[in-house]
Amino acid sequence: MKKYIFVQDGKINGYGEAIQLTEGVQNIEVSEDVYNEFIQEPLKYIYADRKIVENPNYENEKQREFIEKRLDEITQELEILDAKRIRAVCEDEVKSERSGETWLDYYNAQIYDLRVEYKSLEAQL
Amino acid sequence: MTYGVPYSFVPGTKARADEVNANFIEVLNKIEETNTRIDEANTQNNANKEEIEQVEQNLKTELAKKAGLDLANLNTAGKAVLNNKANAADIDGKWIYKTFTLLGSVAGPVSGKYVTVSLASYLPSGSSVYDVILRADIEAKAKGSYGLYAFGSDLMNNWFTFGRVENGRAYYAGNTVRVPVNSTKKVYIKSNNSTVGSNMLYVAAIGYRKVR
Repeated sequence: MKKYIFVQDGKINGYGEAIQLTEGVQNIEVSEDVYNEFIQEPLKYIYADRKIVENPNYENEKQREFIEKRLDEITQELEILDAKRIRAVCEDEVKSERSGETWLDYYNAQIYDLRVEYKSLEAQL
Repeated sequence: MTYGVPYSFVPGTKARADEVNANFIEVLNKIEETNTRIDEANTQNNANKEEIEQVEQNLKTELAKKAGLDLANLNTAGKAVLNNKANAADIDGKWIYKTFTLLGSVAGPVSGKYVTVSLASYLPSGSSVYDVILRADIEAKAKGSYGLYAFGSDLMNNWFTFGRVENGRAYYAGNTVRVPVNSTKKVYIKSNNSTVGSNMLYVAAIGYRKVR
């Protein structure tokens, strides 16, 4: 069974065992090893000089992808915490009688940590 | 069978009454004998007719039983007949289960565009129609992206919807549909998504069978 990596507008756009007949798509046949590796690590290969070649910038791009993914996760966590803070403001309840910490304080602390991490990661991009 | 009478008369001689009577009695006896044979033949014919009717009735009963039988009970000759009909596209073929990746991590089409895939290296050659099982997953990647996705082929005017995603609400959608494909062996995917590269497709064929 032949294996292909699809290229569209000069960039890799997926893989498959079937030939794509989509307008503007090139079907570049690759070895089974390259195909399987590409499925696991799409950033490892790029399209250059009409060929699929190893990405010389793979490590940096992988790191960048990791950071972007984490930034996205943090954004989602912050949105959830914002909703919790609204409830905490409305209900104004104490979380811990011993320390006197309110739910609002608790969520604020979590948001503070996330924002520190966000700024740190953002600086690396 | 030879018929004859006891006495023969020669021209110019007197016929005796007892000899003439004997001839008549012989003729009457032959007539009686023939009638008896006719009656016996008619009786035998009636018996044969009843036997034929009984055989016909038995045949009808057996045919009615066969009609309700599972095809698995067919003998070798019966199976050969069915196989020949299947090869001649008279009846549907067997399902062939084989996984074949059509699209992996491919950006979904935007409204008005199609992603087109050839199943030529997956389906047998020839001009038969095939019923193909397609499994599809969609992933909403970009914020605000939305898309309703469907399969099509050259055999039909309608589209088979297989999923809808919306980033922020439904990040993933998956479905399995059967799509009839004709001799062009092409499968089309369309959507109403408006953002290029916002949704990713994973599509595989997992089985097919020839249909009439």
